[in-house]
Amino acid sequence: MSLRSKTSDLRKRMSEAVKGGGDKAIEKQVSMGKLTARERIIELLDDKSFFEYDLFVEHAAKDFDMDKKKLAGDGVIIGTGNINGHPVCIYAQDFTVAGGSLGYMHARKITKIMDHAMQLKVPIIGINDSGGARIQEGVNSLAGYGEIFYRNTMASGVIPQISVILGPCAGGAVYSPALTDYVFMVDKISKMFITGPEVIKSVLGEEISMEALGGAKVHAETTGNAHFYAESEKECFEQIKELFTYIPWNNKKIADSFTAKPPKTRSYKVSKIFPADPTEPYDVRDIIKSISDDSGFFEVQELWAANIVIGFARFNGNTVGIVANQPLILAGVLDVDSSDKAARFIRYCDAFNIPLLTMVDLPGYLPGVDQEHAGVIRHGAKLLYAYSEASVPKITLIMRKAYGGGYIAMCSRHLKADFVFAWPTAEIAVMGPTGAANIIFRKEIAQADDPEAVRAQKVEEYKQRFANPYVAAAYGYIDSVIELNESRKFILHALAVSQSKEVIMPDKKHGVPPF
Amino acid sequence: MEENNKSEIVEMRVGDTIYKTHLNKMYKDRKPYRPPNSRELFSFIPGTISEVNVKKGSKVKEGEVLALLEAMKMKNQVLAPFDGKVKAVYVKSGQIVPKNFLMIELER
Repeated sequence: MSLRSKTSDLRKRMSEAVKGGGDKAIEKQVSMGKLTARERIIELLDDKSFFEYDLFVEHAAKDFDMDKKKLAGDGVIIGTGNINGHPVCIYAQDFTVAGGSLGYMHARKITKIMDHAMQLKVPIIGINDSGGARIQEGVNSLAGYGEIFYRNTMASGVIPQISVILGPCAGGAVYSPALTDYVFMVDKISKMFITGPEVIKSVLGEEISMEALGGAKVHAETTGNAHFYAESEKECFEQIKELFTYIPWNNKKIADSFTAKPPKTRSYKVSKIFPADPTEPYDVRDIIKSISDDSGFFEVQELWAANIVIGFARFNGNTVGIVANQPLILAGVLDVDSSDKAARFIRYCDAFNIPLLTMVDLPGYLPGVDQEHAGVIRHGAKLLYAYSEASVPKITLIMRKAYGGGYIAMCSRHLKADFVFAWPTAEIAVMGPTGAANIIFRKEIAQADDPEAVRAQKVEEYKQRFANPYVAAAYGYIDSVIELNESRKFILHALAVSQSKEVIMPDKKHGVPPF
Repeated sequence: MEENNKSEIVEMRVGDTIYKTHLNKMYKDRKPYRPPNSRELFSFIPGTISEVNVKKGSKVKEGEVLALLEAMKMKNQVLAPFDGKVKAVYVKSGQIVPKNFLMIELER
């Protein structure tokens, strides 16, 4: 064969392989409002940056007449490319090829690109669109999932791992996304569950749609499995690209630096947003925007456990991870979900060298039998663990209430915050004034001629004496009591002087956190 | 977030203070606590009732198998927690039950 005919043979083979499951299957994919796997990769990555590998991989299954079937690329596309000019490894399951089902070679392609990502120390992005295990390949598909989970775990905290759910992701397959750093889902397209509606119907007789069981909204709002929720695939890709502006490429690097811009203080004026009365709500995200570069804030897990706010902002051009109580929702209490949400984010930031800013205004833990029985002790402990363990610069701003266990948990000096600032509106005390007065002055109140009058008087006295930042400041637990509009200045300085922070950890393999 | 903004600001008590705030889905979906009652036998797992060995009025001994609840490839035994009498049976053989479904009521 001549060079020319060899080249044309290659081209022919390639043009067949890139068709995936063929025109009919592609048509069906498009009719569901979905892009094809290859289109998704091209849409997400920088223009013309994608290079594909393993296009000619074939499955090796023999049972059930599988040897007579040819599956293009075995239902998954892998390769490398760029996002925002930085390299990434990527794979996308191709639903048009045997429903994107995961067989032995399919999994081998995924683990190959994951291994590449680890060697090259670049992020790995997985686009999930698969019917699940390829049943014809039996235990080999299970092996494939296990190999992926192992690599997800090893890569955790080393390289960013992003899961994009753009179709079904069911059964064991869900655990790869669950092990990764961020899960992106799209309304009406993404579905994630362990047991699907059919099994639930046959076992329970309960009817539920896929969307109601494990759609994007459910995972973004109720389960907390999804970190980002989008209305369309396009919006989802924009979110991914924006996230990548805030995070470093691996755990030995820091995130890209941008030109510093002052906050838009005309739109976000802290004196207008912030009510001094501790029972009045406000949106803490507006306070964040009143101090961050260009009033930017990129929120993570916006819809789930909204009583705590987590996300990224920039200060002097550099990424900072923010954890803030949200008085707008449930008065900003800590509970099972909000503790989980914050704790994982703190560990993420710590793993990837992102300084932490904690903004405190909470009445304490959510009371109730359901919270106690749901394990608020175990879950709340995660927050203490995550903050204590984090060795990145830790800056805390106490805005209003910081009572009892909530004060300790929200990155207090005692969990080794580097800098703790408080506004003059801060109330830092062992418990709320009424409760404290009732305990300390129990006898005096009981023996008084007018107990209610004495109680009110004692509560007021306690409030005057203790519901302020100065008692904590007198012990040095607060470094500076600052005016509201000085916050950015103090935070910028604290970040600047913390840049070479080093913490020597005790010699250990790893801790035993209260997972 | 849009849903939270649609909801109204309400008063919520934490400790000794009443705060003005929005509630979330998790909070609204809370179920009031019911103390456990050993006379009521609930399904502890969703499944299919494959056998019912008692009927209303049956005398039962502690540890007696009252019914079988087949779930997750396992025939789970529903045992009598004490010596007593069957007050009511709410399931029949072949019935599919969800979790926390009242199957049998006993009396001492």
